[in-house]
Amino acid sequence: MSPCAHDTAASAMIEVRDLARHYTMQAGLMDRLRGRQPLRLRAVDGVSFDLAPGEVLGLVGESGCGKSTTGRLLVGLEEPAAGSVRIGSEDAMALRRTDRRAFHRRVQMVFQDPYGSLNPYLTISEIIARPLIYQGHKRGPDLYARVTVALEQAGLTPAAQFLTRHPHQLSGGQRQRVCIARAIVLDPSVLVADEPISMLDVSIKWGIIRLLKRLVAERNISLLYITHDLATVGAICDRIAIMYLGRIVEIGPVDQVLAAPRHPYTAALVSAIPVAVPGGKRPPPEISGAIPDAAQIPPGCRFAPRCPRASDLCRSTEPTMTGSSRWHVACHHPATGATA
Amino acid sequence: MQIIFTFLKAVWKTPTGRFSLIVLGIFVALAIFGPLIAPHDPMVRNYGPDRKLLRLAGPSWDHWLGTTLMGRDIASQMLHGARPALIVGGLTALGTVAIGLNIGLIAGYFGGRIDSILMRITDVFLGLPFLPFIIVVLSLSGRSLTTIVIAMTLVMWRSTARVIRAQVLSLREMPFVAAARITGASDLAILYREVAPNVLPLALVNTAFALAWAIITEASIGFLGFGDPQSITWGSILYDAYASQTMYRAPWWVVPPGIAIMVLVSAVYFAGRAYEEVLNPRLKGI
Amino acid sequence: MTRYILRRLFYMAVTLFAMITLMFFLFRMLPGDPTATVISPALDEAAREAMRRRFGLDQPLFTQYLAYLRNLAVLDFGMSFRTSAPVWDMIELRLVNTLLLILPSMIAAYVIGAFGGALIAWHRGGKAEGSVVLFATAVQSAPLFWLSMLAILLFSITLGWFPTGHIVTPGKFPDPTWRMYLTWDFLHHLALPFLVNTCYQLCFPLLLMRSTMLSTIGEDYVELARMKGLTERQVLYGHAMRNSLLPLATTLPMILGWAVAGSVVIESVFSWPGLGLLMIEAITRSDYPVVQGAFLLIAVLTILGTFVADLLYGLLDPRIVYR
Repeated sequence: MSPCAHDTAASAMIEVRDLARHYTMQAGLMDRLRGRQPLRLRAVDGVSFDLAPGEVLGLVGESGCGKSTTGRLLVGLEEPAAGSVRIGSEDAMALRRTDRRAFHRRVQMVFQDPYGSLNPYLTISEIIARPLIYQGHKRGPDLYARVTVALEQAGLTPAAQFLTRHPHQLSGGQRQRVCIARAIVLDPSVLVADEPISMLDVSIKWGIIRLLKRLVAERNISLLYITHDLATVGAICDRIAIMYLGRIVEIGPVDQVLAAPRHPYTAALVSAIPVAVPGGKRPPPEISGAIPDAAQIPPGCRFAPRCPRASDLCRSTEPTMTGSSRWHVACHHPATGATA
Repeated sequence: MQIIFTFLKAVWKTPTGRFSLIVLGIFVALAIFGPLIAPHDPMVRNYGPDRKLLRLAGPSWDHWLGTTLMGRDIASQMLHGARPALIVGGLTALGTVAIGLNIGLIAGYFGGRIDSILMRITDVFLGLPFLPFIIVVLSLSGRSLTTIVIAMTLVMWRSTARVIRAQVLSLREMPFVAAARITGASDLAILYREVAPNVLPLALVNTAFALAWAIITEASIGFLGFGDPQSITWGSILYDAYASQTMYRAPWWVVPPGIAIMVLVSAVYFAGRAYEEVLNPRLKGI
Repeated sequence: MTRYILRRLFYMAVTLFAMITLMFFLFRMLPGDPTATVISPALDEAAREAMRRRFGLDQPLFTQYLAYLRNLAVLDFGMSFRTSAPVWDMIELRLVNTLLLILPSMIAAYVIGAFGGALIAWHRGGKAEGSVVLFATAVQSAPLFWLSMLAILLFSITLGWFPTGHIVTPGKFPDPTWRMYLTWDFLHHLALPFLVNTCYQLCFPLLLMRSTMLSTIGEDYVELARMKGLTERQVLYGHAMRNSLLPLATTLPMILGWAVAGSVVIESVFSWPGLGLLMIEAITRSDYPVVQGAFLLIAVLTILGTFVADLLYGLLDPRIVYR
């Protein structure tokens, strides 16, 4: 099978609408007797975005903002409380219920921890072969040919050198390439990469980023790239979405958003990037305090308690997404310096 | 099968491990060939040249370990005793791990209600007093090697289940489990093809300790007089010696069975511990 | 904290109930004449029929089960086939004897084992460590009844230091009262089984403590304690050993099981009139009400012990949140 045979399969638009995930905090017996309501933690609280084939969307936010949960919802590791995901004309959530295997064939993920995400008991060839086997493929020369191709596409050449090894015999970078090979062996149209380089040495990071970029381009994959690190998003992403407390507050082309953020939260994040921001004419807006508990989301704009520009309107009414077709922001008082 | 080979290879690497494997090999050989090389029929009463019953005769060329009060050859009884010890111990260890491994895997992996039900059941079994329970079961259901194995397995799987469950609880949070799930693997496939291989080493260590404990318990059952009346075991030899009330006149009757148990069980312990050291190099030592 | 205890108590009650139920059906479901475990087979057919009616054995199983629960609630274990005395009266005294032998020796074994294990790990690498480990493993691998026999052979028969068995010199206390336990004679009889059991049971905590300590000694907080200028002794007992006690505590319920098993064995060898020996004797005489009573009591002791061990573990581990 040729490695390029998937191009047609992977050209569908991903539409995520109002995706939500709530956790109910288990109330103790005594609390229940006292009639206390169990706390509801809204980890992901209405996330919407589109993702075109061959496009990379960076999902950025502090830890605990719900970006990883969004990724896990997308690949089906968690049950959404509400919302929909469409891949082309298909309802992915319905597909997941009717044909689990088919759903998982379309959506794959690369995990943060290259050490824990490879089964230490298995050889590399078995690790790459397992997804095919779980999809019902028979063991045989065809299957191992696909394993070899996946490994080589992930930059582990010659593949024969890696097939019989165990994960503990590989370096962190090599392991992450194995994870990527495992993710692409099923020819997915959507790939979620959850902080794929945060646990790797600096010298290896760019290799992994280049690899992901190449795969996206060659295989026309839609990549959701989750990170807390704004410094690397520019190198890989086409667009960027900033998440705060379970919601996307700003989404737009990566160069423009980083150059002239319109949401005060984005501006604060950008000002914290250690490299010089091009066109840094604004003084860094000050935000104070810590990210609030997702169980007690403030009324109105959820960023208002920490926002330097907050008004009474912000504290009472939640802002909606506004803006041009490519650049949206959820803020009552967005910065207007560099409107596209 | 492959895991057993890996186990033997790992144990063989350490000097103590090698020594214990050799000892174990000798005992396995005795279990297989012991009855064949036994010089006498273990149940036959032996008479001396003067046609008198050889009661409590000391060790001699003809009777290496002397004779019992009834004139039976102790060395031959000892050689017959290796087989039931290893068979009962081995089957109990296997049964223990088979049940404990599966209960631990299922409870730890599925969690929630399944876990709490299985753990409550484990607690009930944990409350069963070990030896008294076995004895009551044997006295009610008849004594044979089969009932001994069943009774021992019933009270031994519980600790293996707990140990395995604890390990599975941490394994199931590993990203490789999530990675398998998003490739469409079913729960059973994840449990038995991804998680289970990773607890096998721990299960193996547990098998070794279960084997050691089963051999000692089988001997204790025999000593208390609840062993299989059809077979000669090291425990039953000691029971005869104790019941005869003449053991203080015949140390050669009392010492060998205990030594055999002690050496065999020590070898099993050391092999298990050598493997544990390979798994966790921090537990260095002898 | 109270909530934790309450929940544990609830679990214990559930376990106890399940155990009692299990025993009921075990004694009635196993092969053989079900009434044989309740009515003495020595009686003739008409008497047995009368007994069957009296004991309610002609009733459906479930009715019998309820009656059984009702009786247990008031500690009525029935009558002994042999002496026709209430089972509870026989058990009571035996329980005291077992506890007097097993409890002190298990506590001694644990304390000596914990300190001994910590010490040999602290002075690791020496010849002493190797021989202690080898010796402890060998003792642990030997059957307890055999060690007891050897001890009798050596200390009682050859050296004549201790009596060979029994709790007091037979015939000395025709009517046993609690005063019996305060005599020199009792202590003299207690000494050998106590020593044998202690030596045997201390091997496990000793070996476990040693291996836990070996991994603790390399930890950063031990190094830190040393850098703070604490004496070696303070580091050993205050830091290294304290943190190694936890794995030891988790094994308490298991050890408790061994202690009970050990008591059956050791009481048999030393003719110590405890619960274990009572049970064995009753089984050989087919005195099933006594067997059941003794067994249930042993089971209750085991469950209680597990409960205490759980609480103790909670107290020792600061990471456990009482919920």
